[in-house]
Amino acid sequence: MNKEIAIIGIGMHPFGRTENLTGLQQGTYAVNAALSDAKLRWQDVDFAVGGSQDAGYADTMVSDLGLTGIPFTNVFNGCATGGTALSTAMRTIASGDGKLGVVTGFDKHPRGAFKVDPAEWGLGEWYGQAGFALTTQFFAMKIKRYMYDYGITEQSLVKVAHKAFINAEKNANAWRRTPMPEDVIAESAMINDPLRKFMFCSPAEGGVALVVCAADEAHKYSHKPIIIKACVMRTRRYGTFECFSAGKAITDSPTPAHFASKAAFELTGITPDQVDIAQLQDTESGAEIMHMAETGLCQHGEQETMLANGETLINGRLPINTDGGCIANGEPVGASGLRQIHEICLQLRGEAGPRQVQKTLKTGFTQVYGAPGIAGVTILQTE
Amino acid sequence: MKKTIDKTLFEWSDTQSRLLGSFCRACSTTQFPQQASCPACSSTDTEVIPLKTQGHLWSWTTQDFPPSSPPYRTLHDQTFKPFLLGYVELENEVRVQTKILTEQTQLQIGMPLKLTFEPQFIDQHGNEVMMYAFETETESPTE
Repeated sequence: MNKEIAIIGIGMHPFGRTENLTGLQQGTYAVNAALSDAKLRWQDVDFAVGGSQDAGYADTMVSDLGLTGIPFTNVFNGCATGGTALSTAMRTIASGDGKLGVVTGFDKHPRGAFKVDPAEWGLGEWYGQAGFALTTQFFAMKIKRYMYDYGITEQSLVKVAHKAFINAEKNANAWRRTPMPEDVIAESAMINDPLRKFMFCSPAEGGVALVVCAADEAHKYSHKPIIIKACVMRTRRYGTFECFSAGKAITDSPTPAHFASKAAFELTGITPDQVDIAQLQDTESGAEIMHMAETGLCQHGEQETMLANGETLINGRLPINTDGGCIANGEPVGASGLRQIHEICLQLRGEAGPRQVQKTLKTGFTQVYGAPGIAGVTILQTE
Repeated sequence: MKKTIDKTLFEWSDTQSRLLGSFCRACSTTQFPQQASCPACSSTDTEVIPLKTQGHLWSWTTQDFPPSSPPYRTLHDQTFKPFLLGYVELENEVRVQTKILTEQTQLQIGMPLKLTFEPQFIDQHGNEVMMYAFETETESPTE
């Protein structure tokens, strides 16, 4: 994109369970928080983009925010909903169709594993009848094979979950904020071998919003705008191993997260070793480990040593999921990608409070993954 | 009476029951389940072929909690019985997601497994609805 876009306001409703608010209301709360962060009013906004999976149409929130008549685009793109909303807003500004936009994602899911209708994923009825319509099985089989191929041990799975709860204790917006000893995680109920109960995120609730504008106008609204260097989405190629695949090719291909990251790095000229902090999709412990390498932030197999050395802790060499990630925040599908961006903005602005990374941060990276094989990546920088 | 869980997945008879895939004449890749167009090269020049009945375990996991029902159907509707599943690689063909009937303690990535069938549930007409699975080569047939 020729014109650089900046994030000038961020806001979120705490993740977890909020009985007395709908998902839409949590999205509205986040929009008001983001506007307040940018010292703007809803009346200043000239377009908005947003979406959710299970919590209604984003544009209905205008009845609470104010009926100002602006274009409001509803988007839904699974786990990439936040990224797609953001890239839509970026293009709107770059094309000159809008100047000051609100981007929002929110959700509210029922308890328990995600309910899956096989037909919606292009699968026969038999797939659900046989007991295969569960995303958790896929994650287990992907990490099982990965551990075999690259020598990752169960201890690393435990370390990732352990880190999530330690970080979340320092995050008032997180859901599960009680640190958990490693042996409790390692002995929690087996869900899908080798993944145990406390290694998984759960469907949850929450809302996030951003205010965006052209980077060259950002200083009117923010003393510390965050520049969106890249916002890229990719789908699976032939040979990748994905959720809800009754069959898989005998050849293997790099993943959608690999290709989305590669495109983002090439687009910006930024290299993986320049990334100071990252937010990676940790649907469960294994996903974070595999995404570390798929995104290019480390080599395949290197994760075992990195985790043993604490390199991904808040004050490690490459802090990952400093807000507790999906494991401690839960996953409201529509809001999850924007949560990652919210955390990177806070950290780059130096406003992450007790979990602030204690070094100069210039470049942040975010990555989501979702069924049936999609990945979204952003690269964010201070000016 | 026995019937298949989905007639596109496998051919079912008393003498020979095999999984069905589709072979792309343009790029020589094999898909499971069968599909009219090839996901590798987009060609529609495909044909349905029977797949190999033996393969090697590529990855696996356990299903330790009951899947939502519906859609999950089982013979043991009252008490959930954990089960094993995985992907079996059929040489030069495709990796197939499957139930695995071998004991968990015996499972090792790369081990040989062979095709078998078992009833998944009883339908409203009293038919045994058959599902494919893989099991250890050395196990004697249960029927």
